[in-house]
Amino acid sequence: MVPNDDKISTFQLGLIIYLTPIGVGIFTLPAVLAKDVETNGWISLILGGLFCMLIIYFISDVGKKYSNLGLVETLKFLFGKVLGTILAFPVFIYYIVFTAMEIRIFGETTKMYLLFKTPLEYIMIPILILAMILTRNGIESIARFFEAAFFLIAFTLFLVILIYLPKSDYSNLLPILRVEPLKLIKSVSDSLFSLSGFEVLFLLFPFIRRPEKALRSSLIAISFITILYVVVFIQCIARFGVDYTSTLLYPTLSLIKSSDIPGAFIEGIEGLLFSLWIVLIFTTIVMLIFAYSIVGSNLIKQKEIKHTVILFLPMIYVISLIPDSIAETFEFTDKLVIFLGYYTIIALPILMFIASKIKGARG
Amino acid sequence: MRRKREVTYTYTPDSKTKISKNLNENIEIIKTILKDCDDVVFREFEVGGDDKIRMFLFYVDGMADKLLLDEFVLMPLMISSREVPPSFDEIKSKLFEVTKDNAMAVTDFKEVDIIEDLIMEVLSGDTGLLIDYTEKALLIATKAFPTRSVAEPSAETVIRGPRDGFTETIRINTALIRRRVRDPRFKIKQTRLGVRSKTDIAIMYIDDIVDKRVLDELNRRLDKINIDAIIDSGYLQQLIEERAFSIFPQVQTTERPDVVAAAIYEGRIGILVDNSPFALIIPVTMNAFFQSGEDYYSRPVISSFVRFIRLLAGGLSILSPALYIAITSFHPQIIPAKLALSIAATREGVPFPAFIEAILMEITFELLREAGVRLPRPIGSTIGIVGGLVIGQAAVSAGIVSPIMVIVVAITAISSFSITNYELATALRLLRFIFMIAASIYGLYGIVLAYIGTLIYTVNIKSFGTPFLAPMAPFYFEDMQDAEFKLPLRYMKRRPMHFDPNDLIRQGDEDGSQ
Amino acid sequence: MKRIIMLLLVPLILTGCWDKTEIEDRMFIYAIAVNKVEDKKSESDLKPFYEFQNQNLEVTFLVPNPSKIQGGESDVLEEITVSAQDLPEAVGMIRKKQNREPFFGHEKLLILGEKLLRDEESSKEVLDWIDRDPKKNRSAFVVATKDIKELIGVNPKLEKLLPSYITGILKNDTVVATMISVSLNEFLGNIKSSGMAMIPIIKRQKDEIAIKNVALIKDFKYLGELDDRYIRGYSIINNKLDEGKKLFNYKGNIVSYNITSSSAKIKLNEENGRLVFTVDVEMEGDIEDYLINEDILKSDIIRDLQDSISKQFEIELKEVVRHFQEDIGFDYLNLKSWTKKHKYNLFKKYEKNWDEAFRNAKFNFKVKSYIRRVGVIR
Repeated sequence: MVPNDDKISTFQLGLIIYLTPIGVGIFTLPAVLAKDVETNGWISLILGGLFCMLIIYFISDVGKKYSNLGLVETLKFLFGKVLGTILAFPVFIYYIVFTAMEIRIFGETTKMYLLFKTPLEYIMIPILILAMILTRNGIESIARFFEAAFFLIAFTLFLVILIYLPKSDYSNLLPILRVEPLKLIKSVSDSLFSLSGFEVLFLLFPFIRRPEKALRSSLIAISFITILYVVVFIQCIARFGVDYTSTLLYPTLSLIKSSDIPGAFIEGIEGLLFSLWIVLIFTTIVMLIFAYSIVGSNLIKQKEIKHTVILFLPMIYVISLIPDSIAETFEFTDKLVIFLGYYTIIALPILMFIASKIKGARG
Repeated sequence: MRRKREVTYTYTPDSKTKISKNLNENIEIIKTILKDCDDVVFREFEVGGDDKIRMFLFYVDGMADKLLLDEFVLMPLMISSREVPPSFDEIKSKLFEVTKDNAMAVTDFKEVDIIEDLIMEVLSGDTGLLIDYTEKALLIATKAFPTRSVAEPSAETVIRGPRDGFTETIRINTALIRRRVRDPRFKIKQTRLGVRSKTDIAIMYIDDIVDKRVLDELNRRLDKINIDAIIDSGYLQQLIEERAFSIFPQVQTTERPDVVAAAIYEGRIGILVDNSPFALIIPVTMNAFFQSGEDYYSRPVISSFVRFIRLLAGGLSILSPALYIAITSFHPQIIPAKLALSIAATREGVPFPAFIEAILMEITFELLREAGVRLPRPIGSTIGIVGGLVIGQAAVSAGIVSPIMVIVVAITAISSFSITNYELATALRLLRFIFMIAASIYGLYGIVLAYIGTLIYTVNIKSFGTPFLAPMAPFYFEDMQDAEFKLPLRYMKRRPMHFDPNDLIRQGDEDGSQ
Repeated sequence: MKRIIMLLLVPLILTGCWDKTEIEDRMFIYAIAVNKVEDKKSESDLKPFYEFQNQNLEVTFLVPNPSKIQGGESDVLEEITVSAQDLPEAVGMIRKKQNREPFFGHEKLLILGEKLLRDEESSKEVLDWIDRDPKKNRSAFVVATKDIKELIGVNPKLEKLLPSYITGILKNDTVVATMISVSLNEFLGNIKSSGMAMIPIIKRQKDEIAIKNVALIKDFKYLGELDDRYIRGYSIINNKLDEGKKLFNYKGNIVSYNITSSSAKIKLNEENGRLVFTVDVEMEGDIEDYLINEDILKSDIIRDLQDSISKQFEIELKEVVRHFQEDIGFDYLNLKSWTKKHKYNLFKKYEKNWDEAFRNAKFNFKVKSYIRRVGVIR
């Protein structure tokens, strides 16, 4: 009998931190990195991973201290009621816009690769509804869903790596470290934002059964994602070369597309792989919806998270349809990263870390 | 001396009438209650030489052992008692005790002092004996109604393993379990459920292994039941399940005592219902539905392989028609070009879209299956022939369906039959149609949506507090020893953790307890 | 709430199936052959009906007919030819002629006509269309040819379908040294990264199709033809040789050497403002026929044979490189990307005028060949 206390175990937390960042970002990531730092994208990814771990350290340090408060309450506690609310508001907007963009890019890629004529709305609505149903069931169900989905995903990723590993030209990865350091440092932010989603850790603290173990499992999760991203990047470069990769819109999907398994029952495996990838995107969407619903219900003082989910869902749908074209969608996402992402992912954790240290020193 | 009192009595289920000293009064009440129950036999007789004592015996014809009554109850009381000295005066004061302790050669007695209780027991096959001047009645265990003998369970056959299955008699069933669990800590708690049927229910568990919270929860749910009759364990199952509309069973049913015993050893609770050869086991997980008792008796590598095959069968029985629809109508690039061409060629004359074709064939298959189950056995095989001809040949040669579709239906049929649990197989059949509809709207994306939906649905199911998808979700690493694959028995040192047993150790004596 | 969701889902079920096309209503395009017919430049950009001005391309889609295959008929491949301004237009045109939905997921072959390859604009357009659309099959092979019409008329002897026949021949490149095959993926990758790509040329020979020579493409434009005999050397230097034969001269007799593996290691130095490439090749192989009256199972004879093979390979490689340096003048040996990967400093130095550096580069070859097996006869 599992206690019905709406809490998640350490393993489940790690899984959530692992599955949340893996979404649509990985589709475009190799191209962005190949454009900026050519073959050294993997170094940038590792640096990004390390930087992310540092932020996770900040988050979990603050989170542990106020583990039953939650993000908004912690902010209010550290900075006072008014300033705390003002500081929390951009986080809420960030999650709303992030969810909307995630769903939009998901819809666009599905339209490009799987369903060519189906209207965008009809691709986005069912997955939104499913995400809403799952989110309303609470964190316990979400964690269990992640676990149940994970086995299939792990199997798929394993399969993908098996298919591509022997077929590529790994000398494409040379030369190593022939890049201006400034460019490399700039691209680290791309790598870091490809991991964005890990910051939900902050919101999860009230739900963790053993908050003191959160740091370890999150770090493990982040290192696994970094490894996965590095593998995907290396595969793309090894398969296509730097110059070609940087011209592709979704190099990861092109990689999947370019597969052929000789003599197999399945010829074009990309359809199947992409379908399984949808489950990964779904986990991201669910967690983002959960994130905004927590922040939102704290902000509007609504006790039931269930209601907040529905309250803002139409807003997400509308925002996701604002960009007129795929180019605009990407521009929109970039803007989101500049204004809200830097704030939520980098500035806020550091700010809170410092504030909690000062507060701790005083009292 | 004795005054005849006017008896005014009406029966209500809750009434409790004390047995009075006056035998006539008692007889009258009993006969009022059992009026028009013509299967009840009443026997009034006298015991002793000169000072005769009147006694009254009644039982249900066909449910009590007449031979036992004749030879070991009536014989000693009526005949043997005359041959031995103690006179009536001697024993007058302790008449009841003498009758009980000295007169009858029967092992199982019970003393009852409420008439309604007595009748209750008599109606379940025992014999009631009332003695004049006594405020207590004797209940003689004479249950001997016609029973089916222990036979091999028909729905859960195994190659390797015991061949006994439960029967309709709860006593025999508990005995079958007790033979496998000879531990004093193994408890069989019996209650009666059903306001009218008073069906016997046995709750079986090992006291120091079972999770007490599950037991309390079960008792709480049993207390809530207020129904006239429990005909079969299926009634009870529906009454104690969390989700009434769920397509997945949240209680495991089995006909095999070895499966129940194994579950009890894992810290789960078995429930037996009289008149039903199906035992219930709680809590249950999806995992348990893919296992068969046989897995534990045969070699671990082989049973792991068999479990994998069952899992594959589960997947295929849900997915294959949906994949057929998705591939032929949406994504032909998935299959090799030559296969795509040959499917296209065979579908050339088919008048329906793939979705309609698949639905038609699946419904035909479901009809055939249902007809096969309902038909009397001698005619049953006819259905096979008709089905084989209709589906296999005529439909194809008439150009209504494509041969590939026939193969797909055959695959779903075979795989849905290779799932061990009948109820789960039925649930998956239902899911199959949902997946087909989803695939016909969105292709592969629809299948993924349906998959996500199913997953959301199943992760929310709990069976008595145990998540339905455990040990996968939530993940218990230790329990993977007995999930998709099975470790050799000697390495399975612990009981499954997801059932939260009190005592985890199954082998070895790390903490001294066994 | 659940009921509302149900209500939302009902219209979905009723209006769904936008992408549904039954498999028998699809036209499985196995091969696309594109050539240019005339060369008219459009006059102004902003005239109405711009796209109807000229129809430069002639596109042939090769489509197998499923019912003919099922019926066991012989002539199963249908040709659908349209003239259009570009390929999307051509796809639109076949929709006017054929009821079935064109489906490119199983495309096996892209045949590019010589005239098309000579025109940079058009070939760029065609290739971009394929690159842009994820519905295309990226593992399809690319070939070039002079006359598409002549080619399509061929009825393969053993195969039913012409595209399968051609791709089958192309797949033999793993055992034939003087042949290459190029998939769309590789082709696009090469042309985007270095601007240079090779496409095998197919020609009709009576009632068969043969692979003959390789077309060299530079920046989407046809540069010239590379003779078959240079391909083996190219493959050896690029480490692309899987298996292949070389006939060589030994004491006036012809001996066949079957290469089973070959690996080339390149070293690069700079001497007097000139690049010096040193290529060490190690190869293993078997002797396939040997008509000399000497016991081949003696190690000194084997060693003698090996030396002879090595020497003749060195001569061959020198000639191959000379051909690329002098006759062609462009670095089709992919040495630029090699230099970038392994000698980044030198690459930086010569990046601007690489072609010049390549032409002036010096090459040294060291070939070591081993004979591992000689068959079962002495």
